[in-house]
Amino acid sequence: MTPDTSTARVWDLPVRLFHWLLVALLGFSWWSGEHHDMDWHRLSGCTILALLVFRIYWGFAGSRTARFSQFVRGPRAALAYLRTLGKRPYQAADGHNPVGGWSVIAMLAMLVVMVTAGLFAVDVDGLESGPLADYVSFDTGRAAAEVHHLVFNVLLALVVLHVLAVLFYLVGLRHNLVAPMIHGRRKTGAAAVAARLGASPWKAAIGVAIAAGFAYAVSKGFRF
Amino acid sequence: MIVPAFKTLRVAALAAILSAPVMAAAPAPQDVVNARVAGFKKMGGAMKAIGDQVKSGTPDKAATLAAAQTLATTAKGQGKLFPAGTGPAAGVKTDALPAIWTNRATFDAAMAKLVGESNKLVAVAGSGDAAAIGAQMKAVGAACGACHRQFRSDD
Repeated sequence: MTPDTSTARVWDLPVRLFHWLLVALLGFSWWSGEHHDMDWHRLSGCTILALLVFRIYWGFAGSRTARFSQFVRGPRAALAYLRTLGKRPYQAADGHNPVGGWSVIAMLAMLVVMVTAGLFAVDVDGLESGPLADYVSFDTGRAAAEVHHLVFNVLLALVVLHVLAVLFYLVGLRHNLVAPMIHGRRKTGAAAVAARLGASPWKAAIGVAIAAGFAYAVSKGFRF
Repeated sequence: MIVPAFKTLRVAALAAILSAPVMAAAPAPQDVVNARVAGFKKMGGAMKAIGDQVKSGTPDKAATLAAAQTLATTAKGQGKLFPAGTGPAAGVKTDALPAIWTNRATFDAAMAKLVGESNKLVAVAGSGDAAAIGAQMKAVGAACGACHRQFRSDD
């Protein structure tokens, strides 16, 4: 049997950019937060907000593998998928697999909660605050800061789980998930899907405009 | 009427308790901790109120001045709320570090710095000048932070 070297596109450019920009900004937000470099922290957080707005929009308007309707599956599909992990050779899913899809949803949800809490957060001195903190009291702002901190730890746990899963696929299943997230292509194998991804540059541009506009308005506290 | 009579009775009872020698000599350490925590929260709230005014770009003079006065007045009283025996060694729930009592001169100087910067903030608070108020607010915040790094856990 000759190895199948044909490839298929699996991730569109916006999905890949979202992924790696999020990795970089999450790391930078952590660093700037720990160093109380709050001007940078706010900027980084508002950029993550823009990324999240875009990704949620792209979940409805994006390419086949980017859409929530394609990768959000029920528990039965997730269990069925888990059973296929025992078979060799591993058959790659077309996009997010039914378990990975829930990992994506969980991480996105935690990011939304964390960023939202950060917008209203106030530090212990009342000196530094999120762009929307003047809409809430000091005590509410402190509570938001605690949620912001707590949810970050939950998110870290999800990220660790995500990286461990990627390592499991790489070592245990001999299937590289990182490379396709960089160049967008994967080996097709037997379960080849020829269908186009169908990412529209125009829809992407609209999404970028919505995300950037919304994040900018929030960063200004809706004051113009 | 019953209510005022009851109140009088309560006040009398409180006065009797307070005049008891032990209570008068030293309030419970946790009460002192609660009092200073309440003071710091009040100051945090006042700082946020000033920050909110600065953010608006056109600070309300009266509101900013009132918040700055709350801050400065409260700051003046805070130093007295750290008597010996109200640190973590007393078994109370507090973020105050033992260094406050072993390095008292530095702590008192940091508190004096806070009072000084707060007074300067009062001086500019009524100006309506967002940039000047914001700059002095940062100076107050630096005084908060400098003390917290040395004398407060959980920072």
